[in-house]
Amino acid sequence: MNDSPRKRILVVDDSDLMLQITRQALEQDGFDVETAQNMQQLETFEGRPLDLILMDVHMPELFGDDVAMVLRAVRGVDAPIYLYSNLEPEELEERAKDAQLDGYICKHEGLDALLRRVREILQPRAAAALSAKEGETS
Amino acid sequence: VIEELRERFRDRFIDTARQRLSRGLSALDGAGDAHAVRHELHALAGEASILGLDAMSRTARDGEQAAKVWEQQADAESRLATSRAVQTLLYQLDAFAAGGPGGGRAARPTSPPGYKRRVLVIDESLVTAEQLCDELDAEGMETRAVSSIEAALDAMGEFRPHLVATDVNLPGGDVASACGRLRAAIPGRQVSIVLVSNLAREALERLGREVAADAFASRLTGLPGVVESIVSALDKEASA
Repeated sequence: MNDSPRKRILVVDDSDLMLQITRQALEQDGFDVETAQNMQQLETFEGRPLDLILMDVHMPELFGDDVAMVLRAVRGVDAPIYLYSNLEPEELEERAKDAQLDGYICKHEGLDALLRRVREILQPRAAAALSAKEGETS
Repeated sequence: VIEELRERFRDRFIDTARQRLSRGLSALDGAGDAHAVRHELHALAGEASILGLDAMSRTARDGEQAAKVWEQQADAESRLATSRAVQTLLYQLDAFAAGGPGGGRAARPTSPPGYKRRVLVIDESLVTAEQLCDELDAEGMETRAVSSIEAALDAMGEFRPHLVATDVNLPGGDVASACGRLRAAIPGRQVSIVLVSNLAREALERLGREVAADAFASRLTGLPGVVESIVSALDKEASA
């Protein structure tokens, strides 16, 4: 895990555009963000402290859930790993469960949903407070 | 956040989407590569949804599903559905590109009142043909969409188009013979023919010369480019 007060997130996706947009959104929300577009880039993060890994599923040279399973079971990565994909929720849930991952986030729910879920995962108390405040004003 | 990022990444998204759709169109040509189209549509669906472009995301996901069935069953119906999704995405992308600041098309002078130039559009997909007709209608033309050479030949005598815009891949005949039959359908009157295709400009130009077409329009340039080519050909025909 990362000891710094700012949480560090690794986003793995073969789309450069997706990585750039996701990075911008998460950085604006106060997180440090690293990105990897392929296996070679992903390898460079081995042993580095991370607080969360967001992993796309369909990539040209790999399936994200297979890679994530190896990271968790073989490489001993203890940071939460979430599948981050445009697949249907039912399929994502099954893949995440089969690979013994922490969960999934659907891309087609948009950026707001991504930010909300990441806050819930990394800053549960702050996210709960924000959610309660939103409930009061609505 | 979403509004700001959509604006910041707007041009980048448009470029990336055009590249993806161009590769998708290439993969639809010839024998076809369903897996390649599926990959491009999957990625595009994600990129569109993250920017809140819900209509494009839905179309891309529908296309991805169609490509998945095409990949598994190798059937013509799902291939056609995939092709329609790609065409629809091209139109949606054009609309998105034209809608933003500085992205709109220059206004074109409209035809004189009461005068409408007639364009017959032929495409195996009636949806695609009608989409082009909608754009041409907006330019002040009278249009008709058909999905086969036979239907086009039936329409020639009664509709008497000034120009025929035809896709190069029509079922039941090669494009050279189709052009000959269309020209012969109205004796004594020259009808301009514009070839419309997913082919790259160079290949289409070569084909256009072979079949003596009056002009050609590659869909890779997007819908405004196709409309532009048709209007130019009509202007040339009018001034001849």
